[in-house]
Amino acid sequence: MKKVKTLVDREPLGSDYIASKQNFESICTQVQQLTPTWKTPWFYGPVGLATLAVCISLVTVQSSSATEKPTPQAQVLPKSDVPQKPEIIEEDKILLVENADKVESPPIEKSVSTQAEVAKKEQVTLEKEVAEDINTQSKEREANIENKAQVITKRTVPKDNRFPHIAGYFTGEVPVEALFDADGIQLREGYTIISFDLNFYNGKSNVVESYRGNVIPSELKTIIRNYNVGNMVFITNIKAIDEMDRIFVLPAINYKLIH
Amino acid sequence: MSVNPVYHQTSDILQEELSWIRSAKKDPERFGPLYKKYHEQIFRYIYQRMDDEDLAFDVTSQVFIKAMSNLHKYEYRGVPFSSWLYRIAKSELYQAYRDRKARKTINVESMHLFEMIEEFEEEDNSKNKNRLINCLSQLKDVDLQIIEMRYFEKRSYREIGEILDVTENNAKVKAFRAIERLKLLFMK
Repeated sequence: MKKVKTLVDREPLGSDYIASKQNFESICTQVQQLTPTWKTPWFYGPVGLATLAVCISLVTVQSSSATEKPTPQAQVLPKSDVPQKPEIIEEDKILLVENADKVESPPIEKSVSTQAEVAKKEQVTLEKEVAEDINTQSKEREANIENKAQVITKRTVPKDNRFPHIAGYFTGEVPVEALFDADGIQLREGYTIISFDLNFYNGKSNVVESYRGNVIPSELKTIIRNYNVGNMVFITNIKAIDEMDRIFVLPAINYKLIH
Repeated sequence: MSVNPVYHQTSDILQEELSWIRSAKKDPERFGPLYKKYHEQIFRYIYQRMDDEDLAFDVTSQVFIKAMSNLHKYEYRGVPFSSWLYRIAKSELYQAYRDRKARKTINVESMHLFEMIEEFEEEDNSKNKNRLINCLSQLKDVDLQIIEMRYFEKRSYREIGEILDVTENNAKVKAFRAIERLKLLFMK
């Protein structure tokens, strides 16, 4: 078979015939079919809107969960520790409101005015009692929170450990309270931590502060809790001394702080 | 040599064509005027190189589908839009040869063969005519393409240059070399 076929004097096709074969609509349809769905404008309409809606709902859910998170903790703690007090307070409040209604209602007769004065006095004493109760309750709550917070589950560390740690945490996520463990930075027996640098955010900028000893000062607790939870805190330039008075620089500790 | 009036356009017509292209880039439905204008040209170019009419119409449709879906890539270079379409047509044609088993075809008129034989200063008879046809089928694709455009389709060097994306002078040189090679084959 020849590679190329040669035709001599083939019957030419007329322009009208060729024009009759034009079909722009089918070309357009095929082009639309060829165009990927994600490239078409209509795709960006519904899909774009749906994506936007999903994003907004996600952000809303996240923000609402973030705001709701602290409240259950705050509510759960007093309930477990002081179970019946809040109910009593509510009863008192109800009484107070009832009394207040009685007091605020205008006296019908002069003889009733003395009764009203008595009721006022009772109301004042009740208010004081309720205020005191609330104060004591809030103090108890704070005390409970602090007590709870101070209870840190220390992790067990192998005796031949060669890396510095705080409360058994070497790296990764660490509760804020663990960072302020009274034992401070530890190494294995025979080594004492003599100084370290703490890298943290003080609310304005990232700072590096050097400390002697092995304990992170408790004064920093508020700053750390307010500005560094969810972020990284680095303890660098950790120096230790052994029984032979030799000084070693230990590897840095990187923590991600959590509540 | 005659001049293709559809291909050789004034600057006003080129500008009008450019406005069509711009609007077609925004809305593919506005490609209509360009389709109407160039459908026949592109079909004839393809049909010239094919023996199957239906397949030629099919390939022509493919050319316009490709052109429409790639119109965003088109850049105006001061030459007619058809030069871009011809390049797409060429590529689609070769794809049809490969994928659809379409037969490569040379369509010639006796008159054109006679002109060529005359250029070779040989006698015009059926023997020479058959020899020339045989030589044409032996030519390389590049040479055959330029000979087809120059001698069978009667395109100007400028037009050939724009279709092949070479200069007018380069097209002249290529055409000259192609005809020389054909002559050599013919004289063997």
